[in-house]
Amino acid sequence: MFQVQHGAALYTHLAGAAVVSVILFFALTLVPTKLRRPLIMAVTFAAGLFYALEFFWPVSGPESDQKNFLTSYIKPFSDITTVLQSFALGLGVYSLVSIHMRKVARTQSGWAYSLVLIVSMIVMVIAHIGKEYIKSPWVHQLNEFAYSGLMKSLDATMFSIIAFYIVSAAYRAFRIRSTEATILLVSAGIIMLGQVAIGQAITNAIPNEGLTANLRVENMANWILKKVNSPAIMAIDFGLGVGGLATALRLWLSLERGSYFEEEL
Amino acid sequence: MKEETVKLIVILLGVASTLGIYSILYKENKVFRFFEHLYLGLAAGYSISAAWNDILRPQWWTLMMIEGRWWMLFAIPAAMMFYMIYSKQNSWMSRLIFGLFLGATAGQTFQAFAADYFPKFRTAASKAVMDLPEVNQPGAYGLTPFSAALNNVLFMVILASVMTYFFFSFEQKGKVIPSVSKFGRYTLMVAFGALFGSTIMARMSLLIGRMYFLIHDFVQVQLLHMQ
Amino acid sequence: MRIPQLDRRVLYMLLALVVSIPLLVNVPLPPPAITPPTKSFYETIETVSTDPKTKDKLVIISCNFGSGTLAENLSQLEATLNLIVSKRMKFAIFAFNDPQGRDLGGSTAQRIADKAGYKYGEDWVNWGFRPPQGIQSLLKAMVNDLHGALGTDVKGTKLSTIPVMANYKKADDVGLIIEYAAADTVKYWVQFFQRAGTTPIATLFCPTSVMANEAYPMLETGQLQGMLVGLKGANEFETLMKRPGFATRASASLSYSHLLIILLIILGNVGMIQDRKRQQGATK
Repeated sequence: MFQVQHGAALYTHLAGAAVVSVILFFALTLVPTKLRRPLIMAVTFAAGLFYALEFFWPVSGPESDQKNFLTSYIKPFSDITTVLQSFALGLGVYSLVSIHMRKVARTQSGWAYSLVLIVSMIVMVIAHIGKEYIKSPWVHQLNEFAYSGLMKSLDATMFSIIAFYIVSAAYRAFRIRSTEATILLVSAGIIMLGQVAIGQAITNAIPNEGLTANLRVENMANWILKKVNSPAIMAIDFGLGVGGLATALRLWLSLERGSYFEEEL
Repeated sequence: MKEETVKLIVILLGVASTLGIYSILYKENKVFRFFEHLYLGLAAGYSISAAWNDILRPQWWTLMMIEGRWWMLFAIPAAMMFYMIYSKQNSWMSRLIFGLFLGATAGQTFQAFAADYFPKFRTAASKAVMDLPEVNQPGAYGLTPFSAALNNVLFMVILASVMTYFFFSFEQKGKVIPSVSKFGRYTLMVAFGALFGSTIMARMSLLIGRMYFLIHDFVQVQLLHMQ
Repeated sequence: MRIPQLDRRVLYMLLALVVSIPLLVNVPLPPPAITPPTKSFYETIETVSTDPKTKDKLVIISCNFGSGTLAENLSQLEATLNLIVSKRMKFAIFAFNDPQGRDLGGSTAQRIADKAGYKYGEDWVNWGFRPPQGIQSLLKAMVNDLHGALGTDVKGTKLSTIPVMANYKKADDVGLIIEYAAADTVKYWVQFFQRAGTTPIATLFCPTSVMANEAYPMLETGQLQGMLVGLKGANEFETLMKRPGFATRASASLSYSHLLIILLIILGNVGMIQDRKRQQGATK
């Protein structure tokens, strides 16, 4: 049934698929209210079961190619979910555009900036998608201006601007008011000095061999990062992992509660 | 347009947008607002085009229209379910498709957890006695194997203390648990201090990148023709 | 002497000057200390490139960064790729977190490969970008079938027809993974690829400095064999290779900006103590 088609047969099959899609979609709208929640639960469970079974089911075959009966379906299933997720991008775009279009249409305060946003979005779409289809140099140049000239710089500058706020915060807000704050400051100081050449120069006179090496600031910084930071981060990470696993189980088995999950369907 | 001209315009646009964004540091102004919205628009446009160029075109459109896999058309009604969120009567259909993704993500968590945490904890737990670096090797800090073992034990102690600090399932009473928890809190502060130090380095690096662009790429290379 | 209340704009100007001056004039600075993560990073590449079991295997250069963190990730990529090509190792560019990584990584690789006399398709390949949503499944599929799972390269050519890929068909044919990232994407390699073949694959990580702290545990537990921490890691690597680049040039700015921060924290706290004493004096 699912055979590759070309030429006129392809279009016939596409038309047929479109008709079936419309019918299926319409049929879904007719699902009675009391069946809706069980249907959602079943779909959620089945999707999770697919991956869980694939992982837990014993594998067989040669050592370099071990798989079970589900392994070869992982990639196609993943591809189709990726495609579906990309379609969902439209939700965000619709929301962004509708807010800014409304502002422009009603000439509310700041409408010109909203216009800039919409125009720049369209320009980027034309330039970036256009360069894949149109050979003309103007599309490539437009893409260079929009991406390399503007977006790359704007992106990097937005990320870098925080450096200035950190300087201001260091002078105004980083205060030693408690034991915890003192420990934090001392640790931060050692790390900062230990990471840069000029800080390391302070203890350069100390030989980097034997027990005295421990007094060199870069070794102190490295010790903090590997022996204190590592287990602390690992403990937080483990907590997050267990929490994530528990949440995953709750979602998979549709046990999750809250406004989204308990709303009337 | 000549290649050099395009390159010059790209750099000039880069300079204008860098300075435009930095103008907020002086005070709130219209130039910043303009570049801020320009950035948002370009970033949104980039996401849309990336979704088409890198996902929908190669993994859906090409397969359906070029390779003839007509059944890929069924992705459209499935994707339409997302948009039913705007329908009062049938918004439940969006839950159906969201449920598919929630389930799939949950199902993958088992392998992710096993592959990530089991080796991590197995190594960490056996490290205390097994992994004793030679003196003067990287990570040994000139310590004797005994001190290195002590370091490894300290690793485990800190791990346990921080986990105790975050253990909220029962009230932390008595002498031992609150003390362990307090030690955990102090070691967390050391870790946060380290994180603060690293954050500063990250942000400074990015600022240096922008300053290098202004000074080297624009002033020295473009204006002064230095290399 | 009373510590003045400085306007934030004065502080901003101070930082801009401290960062810019070392980029304009040559400021003498001692070479950076080579930290153990950088040392083991360098040694891992040396080992993989000389060990008969791994030297002919593929190196995956995973570029998961965008233009926001260019200053850190691009300098790491340039420094390490120079070593990879000097060892004549075959490599593949790959991105799965940000499509920008494919272009930024691809153009950098092209530049370095051209200089080293590498030919596209024969010595290196760009696998292109694959969406992050499906990366777990893709990596699992790649373990046994690189050609089938990835399909085509960035130009749309089937991997099975690209000469460099002829001998690289599954995870066992990969000798080294280097991840350049602005996020914790290395975990996907560790979780789904690194140990999925018959022997574990050496994995190196080039994170931004802010992401490095989270990766130290993986270094401790042996899941990672080495790490270049941000711009300073790139600087250490350039020093090891005796090949100065952007990171070396930025070293002085990085140093003095850190000193400025420490100085401002001290001044801020001295000011706080002074204010506190003055208030105590006033109440007495």
